[in-house]
Amino acid sequence: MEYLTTEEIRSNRNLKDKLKTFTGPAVASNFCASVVFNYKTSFFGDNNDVSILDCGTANGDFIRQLAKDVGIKNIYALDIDDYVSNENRRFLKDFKIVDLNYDKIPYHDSFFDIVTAWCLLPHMENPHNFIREAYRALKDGGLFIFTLVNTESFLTRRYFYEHGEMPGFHDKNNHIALFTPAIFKKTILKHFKFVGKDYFINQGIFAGVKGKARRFVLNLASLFGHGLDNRLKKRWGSKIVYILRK
Amino acid sequence: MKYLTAEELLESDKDYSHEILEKCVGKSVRDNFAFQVFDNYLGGKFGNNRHNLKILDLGPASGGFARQINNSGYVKIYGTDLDDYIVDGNKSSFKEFKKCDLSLEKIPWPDDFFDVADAWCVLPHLENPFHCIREVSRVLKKGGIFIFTAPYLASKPSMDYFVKRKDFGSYRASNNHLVLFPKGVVEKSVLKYFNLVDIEYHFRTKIFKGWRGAIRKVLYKAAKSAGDKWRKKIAKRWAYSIFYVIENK
Repeated sequence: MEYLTTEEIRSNRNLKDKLKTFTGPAVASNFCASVVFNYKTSFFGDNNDVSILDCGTANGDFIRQLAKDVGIKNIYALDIDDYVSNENRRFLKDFKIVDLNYDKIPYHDSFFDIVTAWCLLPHMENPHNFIREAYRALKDGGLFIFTLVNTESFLTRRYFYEHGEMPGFHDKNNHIALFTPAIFKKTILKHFKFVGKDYFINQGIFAGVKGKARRFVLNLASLFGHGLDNRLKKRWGSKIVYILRK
Repeated sequence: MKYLTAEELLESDKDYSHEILEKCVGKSVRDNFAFQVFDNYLGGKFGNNRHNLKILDLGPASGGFARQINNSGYVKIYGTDLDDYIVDGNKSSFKEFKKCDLSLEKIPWPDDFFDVADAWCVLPHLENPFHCIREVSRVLKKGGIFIFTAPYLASKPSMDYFVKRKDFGSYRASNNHLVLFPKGVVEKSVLKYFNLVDIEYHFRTKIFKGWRGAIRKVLYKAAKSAGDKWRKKIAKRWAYSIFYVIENK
């Protein structure tokens, strides 16, 4: 998807139709729901009455997974426009249209237990407004779970060194906000405490002969333990998932 | 200067930010490089008409650049910043100054008002530089020139630093550079509204220190005498910041 302003996104009919059926690979593979399930269980136990706000919810497939697979009852969602499918809408307690670059999250302070944002921040003109708003809308001890493009991976760094260009931020897509570790530290950890991080690997990396070898090495690494598999995920992961706490 | 939100800059950390920004003159302004680029491209585009050009200086801080160009015959200089950091000695260089949060407010002048706009290392400090870019396009006349700078990410030292430390030296946790402008981001977000006129590279003179610096100096002199193409090639390799000279569509 090309880079578009909020106004252009909202007036683009084709884009609206496209986003109504689009599910990101991390959501489609159930990766996002499993991350939320793990951290929800660690911090809130079996309590499924927690309130979750999903920002940039698109067609709502993640909401359906939250409701059906994780068992969450109080799900709220926001997006720049309404792309939620009719099938998924029934799992929502409330949905509102907002521009998170400028607007406030339309709920009062300390309302949510968890706020999620899957591949939303890299698309935002002003992610810092959203970060402050997520902090405000979360309860004390609430979790903020989101993904960023993994700029730390060896593959990204090698590509940048060879081409002088950041993969994932080329002129044909609409990623514009880049978070290096230092920017992450000064802007996001200014508000939140670090809990953990994980990596999402695009399945494309396991295609072909080289891909099969990678899969084999990764499986082998997970058998050995000592965080070896995590080091490989860090090397190959296209996205970093951060889990932070208010 | 550490990272502060607009609210902190205007309220809780107002004294701290004034103390720094009232003394702040960027390196490329201090060593006259910014003025050379500015004067060179404006001379090429507008000839000797400098006294009639309406110029918008975005984020002038202490007003050092406005004073430089005012001393050289540019008289219609307008400034806008989050707060007024202009020192008394430089205030008279401005025809008008208005406060504005460039990340979210409209630039407080009408459409097609300016011939030229400049922003010396301002966009990387803004939470939403993309809003500011659209606003500059709005207040500039068609064909008007916008010159802005950002830290250059793809120089040899910057790429080496990134490969080794996963970060960029010019975007440390201790400073308030927030937004990176790799080539793809500039192409899709800036060149959507502007045509590229040229690119210049600025490096810091400290790279000429020591015996390695002496070699670099000889190389640079040789490149300069070989022509502009070679001068730029060398400057690009060592550059700390990149200067985009663009024209409003």
